[in-house]
Amino acid sequence: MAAFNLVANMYDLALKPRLLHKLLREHVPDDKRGFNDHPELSKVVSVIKIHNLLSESSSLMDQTLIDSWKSAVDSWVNRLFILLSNDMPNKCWAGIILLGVTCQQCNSSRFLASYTEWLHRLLPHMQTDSPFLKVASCASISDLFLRLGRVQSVKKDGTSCAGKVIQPVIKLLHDDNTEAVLDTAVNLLCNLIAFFPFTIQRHYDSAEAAIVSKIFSGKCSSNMLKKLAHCLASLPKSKGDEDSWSLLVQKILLSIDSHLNDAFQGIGEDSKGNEFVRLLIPPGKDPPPPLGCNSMSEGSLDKITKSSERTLTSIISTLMVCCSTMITSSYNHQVAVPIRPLLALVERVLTADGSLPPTSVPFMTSLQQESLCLELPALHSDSLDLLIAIVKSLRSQLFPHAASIVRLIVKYFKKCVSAELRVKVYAVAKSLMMSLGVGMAASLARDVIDNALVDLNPVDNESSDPSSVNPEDTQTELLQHHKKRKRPSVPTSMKGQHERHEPGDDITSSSCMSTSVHLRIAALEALETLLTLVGALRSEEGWRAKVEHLLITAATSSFEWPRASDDIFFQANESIEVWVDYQLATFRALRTSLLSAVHVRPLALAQGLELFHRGKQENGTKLAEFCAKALLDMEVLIHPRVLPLSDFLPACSSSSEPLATYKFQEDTYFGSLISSKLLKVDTQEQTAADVDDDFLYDREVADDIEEAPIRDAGNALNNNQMTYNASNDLEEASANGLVSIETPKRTEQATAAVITEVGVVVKDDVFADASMNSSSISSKSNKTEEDFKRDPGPNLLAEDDFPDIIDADPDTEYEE
Amino acid sequence: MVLLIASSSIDSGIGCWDLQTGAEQLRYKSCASPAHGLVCVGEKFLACSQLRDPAATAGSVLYWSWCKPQVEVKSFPAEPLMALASNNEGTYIVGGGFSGDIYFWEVLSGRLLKKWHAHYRAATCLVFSEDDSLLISGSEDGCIRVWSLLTVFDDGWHSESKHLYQHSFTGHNLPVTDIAVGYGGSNAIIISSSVDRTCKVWSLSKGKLLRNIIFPSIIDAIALDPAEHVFYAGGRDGKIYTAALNAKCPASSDYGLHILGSLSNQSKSVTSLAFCSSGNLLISGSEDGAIRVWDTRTNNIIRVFRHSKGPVNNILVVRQQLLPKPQSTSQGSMRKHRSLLPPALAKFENSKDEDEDTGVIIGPSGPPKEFMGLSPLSSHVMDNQITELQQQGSAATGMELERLKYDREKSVQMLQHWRKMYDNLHQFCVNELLDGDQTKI
Repeated sequence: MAAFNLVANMYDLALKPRLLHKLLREHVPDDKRGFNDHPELSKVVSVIKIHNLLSESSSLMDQTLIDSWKSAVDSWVNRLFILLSNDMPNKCWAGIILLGVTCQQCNSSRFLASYTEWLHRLLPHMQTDSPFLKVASCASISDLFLRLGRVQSVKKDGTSCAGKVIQPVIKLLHDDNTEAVLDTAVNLLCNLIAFFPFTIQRHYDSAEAAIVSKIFSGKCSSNMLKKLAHCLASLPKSKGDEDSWSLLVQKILLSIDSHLNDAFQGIGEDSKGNEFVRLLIPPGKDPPPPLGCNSMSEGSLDKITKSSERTLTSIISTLMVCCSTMITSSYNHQVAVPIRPLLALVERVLTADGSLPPTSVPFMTSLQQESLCLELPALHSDSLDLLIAIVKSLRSQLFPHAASIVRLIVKYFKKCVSAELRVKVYAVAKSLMMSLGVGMAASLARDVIDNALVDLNPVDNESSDPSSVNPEDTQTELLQHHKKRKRPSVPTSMKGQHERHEPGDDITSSSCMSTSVHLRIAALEALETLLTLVGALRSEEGWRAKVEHLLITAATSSFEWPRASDDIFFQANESIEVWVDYQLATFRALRTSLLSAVHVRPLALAQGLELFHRGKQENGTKLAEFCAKALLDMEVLIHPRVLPLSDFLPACSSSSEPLATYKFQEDTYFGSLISSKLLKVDTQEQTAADVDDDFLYDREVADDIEEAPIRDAGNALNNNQMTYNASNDLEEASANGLVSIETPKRTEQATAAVITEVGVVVKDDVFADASMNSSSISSKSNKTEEDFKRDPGPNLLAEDDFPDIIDADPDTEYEE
Repeated sequence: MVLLIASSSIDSGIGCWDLQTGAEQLRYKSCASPAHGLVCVGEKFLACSQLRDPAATAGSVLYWSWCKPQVEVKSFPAEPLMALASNNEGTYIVGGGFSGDIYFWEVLSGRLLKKWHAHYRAATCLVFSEDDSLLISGSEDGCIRVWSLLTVFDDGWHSESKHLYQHSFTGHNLPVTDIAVGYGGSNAIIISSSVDRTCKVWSLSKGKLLRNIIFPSIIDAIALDPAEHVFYAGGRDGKIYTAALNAKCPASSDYGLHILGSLSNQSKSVTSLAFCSSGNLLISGSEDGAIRVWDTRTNNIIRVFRHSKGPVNNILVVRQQLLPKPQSTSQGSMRKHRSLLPPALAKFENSKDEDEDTGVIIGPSGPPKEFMGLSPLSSHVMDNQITELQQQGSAATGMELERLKYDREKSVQMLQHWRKMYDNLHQFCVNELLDGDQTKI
């Protein structure tokens, strides 16, 4: 009869007890059978999870089913008990681990009824000799407490249970050196701290000592050290008060300091260590006991382990990770972050570059210096991480200290050569800008741009093809702008750059890149943040054009995937996936750049739009998705919807902005006589921008034409309408827009430098148009460029064309 | 819940209403505020500077927690303060003094972090930019200045630059009455109103005047539409003018260029304005002590609150999650709430050394999140251990060894058992043989 007791389908609840029995019969080891097929256990667990075989669903109506399921689970648990008490270690192991799974999977009433018994069965195995069983029992107990901790009603009971576990765990931490055991023991401890803080309170000091001794032992892997750091950082949560938190931070900082003193011996900055201690411990107060000790009487752990350079570094970095975890995690009480010592610590590490003080007799052998320099990058990286953590946790409260951080970062940026570290510096800059807003971005702007220009410049400067915009121009300009970077001339500077990044790599193909992709991504992200925040600021300095050009080039070249011959890319063992991220980063930055330009139409709008259209066609990629969204964002640039606010048309924003219409009231002359006429202009402003080909050819006299809509509104418009033809496509229209915007710039800026820039822009546009227009355009535009160079006259003229506006313009008066 | 909070220049407390239902909440006692003197600090508590006898040497700033009508913390700054402002996070309170000094306090510690001479005459209004990195101050001398907090704290900047401010706008001839800042980071606009009957729109990025609007009357209060389409200006003639920012202006207007129209129903002058984006409500406080709520789509008054007899010179709209419990709170929770308020603001700047004592205090930041990240271990550990077993890792070999040992032991036992049986059998056989022989014999 039983043979034909069929169920409806695989979801039938009646199936569950039978499946469980089947598992017990065939797959779970028992007393008698041998047990060698270990992977089978993993199958058992997955079946149990998928079918919820242990859940004993409470919604059941059928009493016989309830009973049969209950008895099935009972026999499951009994089988586990049998396995647990088996002498064969592998069977015992199976019992332990399956009980852990049962803790997660079983019905909550069963769990609450039997967790004490289960714990008692598991506990002895924690103290066996076999590390294998220790790991398994720690994991299972940890799962038991994880479940218990989420049940509020048994908190008290749970606390007393946890009390039985805590000492064995600490003992494990102290005695055991097996990585796997430590790992699960630390996990269990973290669990207990999180859910049963009262238990830990009584053993706070011994827990601290155990963790610290492991950190100082120098025998743990870096992953293990990170875990230990997190565990140490969460320790004060067990007490849940401000004082224990502050005490631990103080202890950690002092310990870092003394280790740094050891590491930096002989480079002549001992005074910084003392200064640091003075900051941390106010005069007249006793220093806290050393880390890992409850009182001064016990010997310091630091002294016990006089360690090698390598362990020294790993100790320092672990403690730094611990610091950052402590300040970034959330608490339900307030904590006083010792900001000055933290910043002093970061500064101390970042200013140490392995150089020796020039004045004194060296206290260091070359051997010592070598080993110091070997470890320094790791230390730098950790302190940059710490700095990021500080910025993230303090946010606006960092303002009083922000200026010193800016100075530190700017200084460090100049010195830093390693790509990995530069990535982190960009990350610091980014988080600073995000947390502290416009003010911070404005003060970091110059340095971020400088560095990004260097890091993002393609190598092909020397082999530049004449058709494209010459990057040397930007480079030279950059150099002229910022003499502090000390590069006397372009060729040497470029060479220097090569040496900096990849030594001996000068003979690479043109599409090859000088800097690692990760660094480029970081630079692009920092640039994007900067543009988001202060895209509008100080645009008259001309940095926008440079950045925009850079981004256009980067985005264009990102379509060319690196080839196998591109040594650097593959040398660095970068997965090709990185390139996708890079592509996305360039397009993001470009979008932000185009959108953040205010007051003027972005110079490279046409090129940008084309790139986004091209990106959109790469169907199915992330890039295509992003480009589609970006095109929607930028639609407002194509069809402006708002009337600009500026009434006082400065000479700079001539006809490119359709805003010339409203004049402020004081200017009665202007208002009464021309306003009606001007309003008319406004309605047709859009068409005025869409000039046709003939118009473009007449670029030499661009200035006159541009001003035409305002000066001789009627004429110009008629002219436009007459020559207007339907062939004006999008690119063209915006290209025209570009040129017309550029003109006002000239009026503002000093002539010589500006002319090159204008030249660049004009060429740029033509480049974009070249594909669809005849070659005559490019020759024309070259001519245009020459014209500009030859004769700066129109610039001066342009100002004179607005005599009344200039006079009425109150800017000069209002500027600082 | 959106709360409407208002205070007046005569001592009639701080009124507090639920904007949706109109129900009056607690009235916080003993407050006579100057215009722009009332702030809500990080949505956590209310702070207000107090009007003092002009002869008084010290000012006064009071704190109220949400749940208690009485003043909880009193501070006495070095001079009477006109305007008070706080950043969005509620970490700083800034006060503008009669002398033109600006005081900068850290809320959680109460320390006076900075004090600097900002204006020649009293600072009448203080506003933080939308991202809290800039402070904009307006003064009685008609000057508006933009300060970057970064440079204000930067000692190096003081020596390098001749002035501390980023921009100084000197377009107004008479005292500045109100300032509003728009959205948009560096590209934001600043709108200022003045006794000289104008409102001016400034560009933050360029530091330039963008638009100047002349009104028929003195403007005492402005409120910015969140989408910056228009802004509202409350005049002393009792009208609230709507002025265009990005809106299209008609060619001619009854009031002047850029002025689109007006809302008016009150005889007495408008003293304060606030905009509530949920429902697009404009809230105006008037000289006669009434607070009117306007629907900006229909330009109708939809609600009127009575605050006091005196002019309502501060209106705040505060979004609040938890309801302030009126009176019913028990003693215990009262004490608990009391401890939540930060200490009083310090009168003087500390010396550097004293500052080093305490670090930067980070307030409680809600329930710890990382507990959620803990995940069950055992199945994961099991998988790891199984792979280890298969790869014969060190621990696994140990266990395997143990298993073999155990097997061997068992085999030895078995062997002995067999041997014993054999011996027994042997003995038996021998005995049997011997016995047989004996019987034969």
